[in-house]
Amino acid sequence: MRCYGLALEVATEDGAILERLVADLPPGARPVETEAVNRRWALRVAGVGRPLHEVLVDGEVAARAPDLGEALERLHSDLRLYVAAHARRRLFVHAGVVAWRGRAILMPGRSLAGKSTLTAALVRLGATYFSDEYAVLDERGRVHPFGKPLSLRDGAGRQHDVAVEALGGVAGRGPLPVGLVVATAYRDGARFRPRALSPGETVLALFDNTVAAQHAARRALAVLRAVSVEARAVRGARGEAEAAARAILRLAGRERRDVELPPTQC
Amino acid sequence: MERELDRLPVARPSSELIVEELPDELLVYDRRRKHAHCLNRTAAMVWRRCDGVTSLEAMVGELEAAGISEGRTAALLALDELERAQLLAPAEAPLRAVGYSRRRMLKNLGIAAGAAIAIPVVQSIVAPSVAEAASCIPSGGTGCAGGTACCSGGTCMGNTCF
Repeated sequence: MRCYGLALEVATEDGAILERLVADLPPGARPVETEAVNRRWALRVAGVGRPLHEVLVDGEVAARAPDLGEALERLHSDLRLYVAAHARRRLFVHAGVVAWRGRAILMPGRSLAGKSTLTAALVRLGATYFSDEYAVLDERGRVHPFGKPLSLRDGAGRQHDVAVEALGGVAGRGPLPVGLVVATAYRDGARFRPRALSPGETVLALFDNTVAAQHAARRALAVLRAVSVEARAVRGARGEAEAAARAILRLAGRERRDVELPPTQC
Repeated sequence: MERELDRLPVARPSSELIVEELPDELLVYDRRRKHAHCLNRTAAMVWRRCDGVTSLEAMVGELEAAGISEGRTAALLALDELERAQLLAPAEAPLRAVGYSRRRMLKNLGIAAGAAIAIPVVQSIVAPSVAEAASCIPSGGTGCAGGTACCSGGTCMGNTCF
């Protein structure tokens, strides 16, 4: 298949597994006939009696799991990360993304920052879903949808895939300019009182979550610069997701003239 | 005035850095150390003049001509910030300024009019590796003790996801 300018191969000998394998490929992946591929993934069933699923990456066993779902998730997660790191014409920033009134809201953050929870809260309030994992940016700084089910954690901290429609939301389509960047993470009991960021601080907040930051730094800084000169940005800890989501939509809905001028310098 | 510094400061070679300009700031990526820095206007002005030729006196003159009060204090503080961020060429000994006290100079700048803008600032982060930017660590992977969660169904034991 072709995916974000990369030639990738996924394979399995089991037809039923293939169906599930193909169902969760990254958005935009399309089948092609090619022998020259950047990376190969395969899933095979091994073990005698009790099945064991093996994930192979370029022919080497990368993971083993008795549970097929777990093996599939390992494969898809690895594939998405590879695409995020090596995409030729897009920059992947680890972030939740929604659209509101024609502009995108980016919420960069590492794992456990609560991005998916906050993204889900924004969707429940009427924002359009783009992604709970990656902001996919083009060279003009516009963000493209990266449609996948939201990965929401239950009370025990386990992740479950939830379709955006199950939250009463809809998935976005075309690319949008970024209107607001919100660098936030969950902190028990915190009240969301963010401070404005300068353009340089905005770039650092996004770069800190850019998958290809180390090996595509020049391209990353140019793309993030384009975002920072167009978008407003804030940083601050948040508590409960719904309250923060309401505050974020208020911020995003305000006209520039109504907003306190952000600092021009870091 | 140049005798106040024990040598003329020199910026790291451009081959080691990636520079991106913003209207009032400068972004500098250190390819060797994998650090990204944001320099505010004062710090950027001083760093651009760290060419091994420009004296402290000339830097001060440029800062004051640009409307930055307490130019000498601002220049020395900027050099201190730049040296801490390792944006100056390495030397056997740190850059020394005669009679320089960071605390006293910050205090001086704090009471000077418009000082909030004049104080040189260098903010820095370490660029994440691909693994650090991952959403979750799959079964068998390590690093969950560092804050990244295990993927669905996984449990972090020690530093490994099971």
